[in-house]
Amino acid sequence: MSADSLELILVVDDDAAVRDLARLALAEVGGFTVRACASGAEAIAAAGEFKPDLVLLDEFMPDMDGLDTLLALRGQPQMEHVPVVFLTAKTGGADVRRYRSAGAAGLIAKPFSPLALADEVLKIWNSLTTSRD
Amino acid sequence: MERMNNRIVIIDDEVTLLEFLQTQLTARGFEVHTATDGQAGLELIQQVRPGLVVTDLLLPKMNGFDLCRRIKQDSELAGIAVIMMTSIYKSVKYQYEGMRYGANDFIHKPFELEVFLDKIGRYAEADHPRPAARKLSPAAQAGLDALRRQFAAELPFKATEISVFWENLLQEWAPEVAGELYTRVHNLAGTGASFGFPEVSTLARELEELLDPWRMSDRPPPAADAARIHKALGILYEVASNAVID
Repeated sequence: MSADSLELILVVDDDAAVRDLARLALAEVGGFTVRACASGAEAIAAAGEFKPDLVLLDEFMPDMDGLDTLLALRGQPQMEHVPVVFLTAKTGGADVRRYRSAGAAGLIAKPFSPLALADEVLKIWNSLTTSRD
Repeated sequence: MERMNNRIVIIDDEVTLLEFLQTQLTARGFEVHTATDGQAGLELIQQVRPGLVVTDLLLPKMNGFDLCRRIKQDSELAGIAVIMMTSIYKSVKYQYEGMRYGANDFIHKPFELEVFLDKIGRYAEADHPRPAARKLSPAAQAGLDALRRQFAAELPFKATEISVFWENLLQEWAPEVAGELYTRVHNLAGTGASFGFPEVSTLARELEELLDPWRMSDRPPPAADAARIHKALGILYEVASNAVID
């Protein structure tokens, strides 16, 4: 992972429509390289080989939900400091606090605009790199 | 640099709420104008031409439904987004009515400020320079259009699937089936607007909230709750089954 440039994004969502749309939005609009996974388990398996700069993670998934996936990713080599951003419809104050306390770098509301998703991800990324400087 | 409209008109006869929202939004870079009845609100909208109107439903002189209808039927105002606030008309039926009048979104009172700001942010931009709007290459636009067509084609099937799950639950309640139903409704809520069907997202979100207390329950909801779910599902089915791409 490059400390300054956002290039590789791992998208994790059990809904194929979301994966397809996010892949198009991030790759075609944002110019990122995107890997899409349908489950937390798949994401954990892919993270080591893909080495994402940022993970975009659905909060509500069967079998392993977003929070459990985040915790599992943190245990993977080189994933400890990779920003994880939740894709979620629950954006109330209590939900935001829950995500933050779990270690999320930010959250993006669902449903998202395909033309705005790349910018929303970049806004979170830039706020993180700015705070590191 | 392109700049979006940061002007918002808020209409509510509850003055303390108006003042609170005006303070919060102004601090965040929005230009906020307010009115306390529907008629004054319409005149204000015609005068300042906001990008977004946030209106209560129960208003003196002109209610929120009529105000929305007047906005959407005026060729010079029709492009203004309208969010309806309501504490009484919370049922899906009234939200569906609101959509028929042209409302873009709803928010229920009481609401958390962050939820309100998130809604506002979808329809208005605070007053700061921003890069020109992202555009898609022709190939990417074709890809997006293909995804939208696919989503629209699958909507009736998804609506039918949801209805079948519910009918099965009415016959015999099973927590795992309730969970499957909830997941499908949740996914629809989180995707509809992304593919150009905001009404599907809004209706699915309401149904999701009705289903949430029961999705892991080993007992079915009581008759009154079941009736509300049934009605909400019927409206969602009707809208999803007839959704057409513009």
